[in-house]
Amino acid sequence: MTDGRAGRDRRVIAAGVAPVAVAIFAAAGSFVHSQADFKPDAGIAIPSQASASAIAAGQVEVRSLRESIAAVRGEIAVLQRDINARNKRVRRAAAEAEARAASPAAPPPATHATTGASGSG
Amino acid sequence: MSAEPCVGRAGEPDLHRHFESMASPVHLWIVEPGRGASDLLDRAAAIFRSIERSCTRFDPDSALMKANRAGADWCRVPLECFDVIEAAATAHAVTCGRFDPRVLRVLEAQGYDRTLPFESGLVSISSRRMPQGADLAGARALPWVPGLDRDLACVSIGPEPIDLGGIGKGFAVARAAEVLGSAGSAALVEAGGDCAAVGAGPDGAGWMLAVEDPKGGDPIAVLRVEDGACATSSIRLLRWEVDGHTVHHLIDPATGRPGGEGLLAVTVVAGDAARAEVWSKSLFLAGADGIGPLAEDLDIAALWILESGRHQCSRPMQRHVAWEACHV
Repeated sequence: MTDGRAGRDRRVIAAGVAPVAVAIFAAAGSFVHSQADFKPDAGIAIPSQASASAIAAGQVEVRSLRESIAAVRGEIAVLQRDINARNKRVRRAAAEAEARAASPAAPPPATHATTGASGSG
Repeated sequence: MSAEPCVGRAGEPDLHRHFESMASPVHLWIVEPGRGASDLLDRAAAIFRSIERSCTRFDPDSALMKANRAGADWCRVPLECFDVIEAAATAHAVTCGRFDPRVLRVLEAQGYDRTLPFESGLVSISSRRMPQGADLAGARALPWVPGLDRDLACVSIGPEPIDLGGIGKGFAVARAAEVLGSAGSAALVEAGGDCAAVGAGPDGAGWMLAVEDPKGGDPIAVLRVEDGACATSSIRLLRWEVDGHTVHHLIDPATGRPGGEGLLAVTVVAGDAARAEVWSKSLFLAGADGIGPLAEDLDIAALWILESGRHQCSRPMQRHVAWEACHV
């Protein structure tokens, strides 16, 4: 993944992370940007793939499993909130469309003015 | 639209004013009027009178007609007339020539050289001085770029005279809405189909504007508008017979003939009434086949009524539709 502040690629290591945890990372969209990124050399590295020199050079960030899971949970909470908000918008739009579709049976609501044919200046 | 905060006083009875201008009934409405609202109504009404006086084509002594007679020569005009001509030039450029006020000679040739009694039924007249189509097309083939000197309030219209009927009214509605923007908690300016809605209406749920069905009866839709404007270009009223052929006032500058094949009316919601007026006319001229793609491409909130009586609307218009009729 790219760390904009450092201006260089940083890899996130979830120390001791199991493959299932890595999969959670990917699902949360937190540390990988696409399926193509979901590979060890493009965003997530497992400890055995990170050299000590890379860690020392700050090219990778080491997190404990606890920290990683907490971060993922936070990301998932944010994603869930976004999804809930989007679902709410979709439901409201659908309800409005349904109301409009059902409106022919109902008379037009009270109006304040009419736009239509007009005189000329 | 004014950015000043509204100064309405809750509990105050609404103020209304009705009068005729530009061959249209005008209605000004202030909700919960604040201090000085009555004076603002006077100012708004004066805007209509001054623009009508200077921009009418039915008075040979109006500033517009003097400028038309001057042709390419410079002519001093009142500032409000200058503003409308400048707005028309901008609209001509923004619409890539779809809006073109250089249709006066065509309208006159079709007999619309005076106020006609449209309300009393289909008017039948004989054509006269029908201009040569090729000559008119040649004059309009070039973009219209009038001379505009704001410091001296002088204009140079060019060889082809112009008609400011539609945009003049839209401009007056927009200016009046600016004046009434701080008159109360909300305000409405309505002039023969052009509406400007300030604020969220009398009950805070938006101004509800009915779209007339050109075939009569209930409205075809009801639009909810807040701090915006809408205008309709329709051929329900302003059409007449010339030598047995039905014509209307919406002239396609590309052909010099009535345009908008397959359409009865187009309503546009925009930021101000002048823009709504310009785009309703420009979209109308695209005809039934062209209006949908054009409105979507330009992201314009438009609703149009086909000759069949069915209506359609662009995606940006959908959020304004509070109610619409069903076509069975």
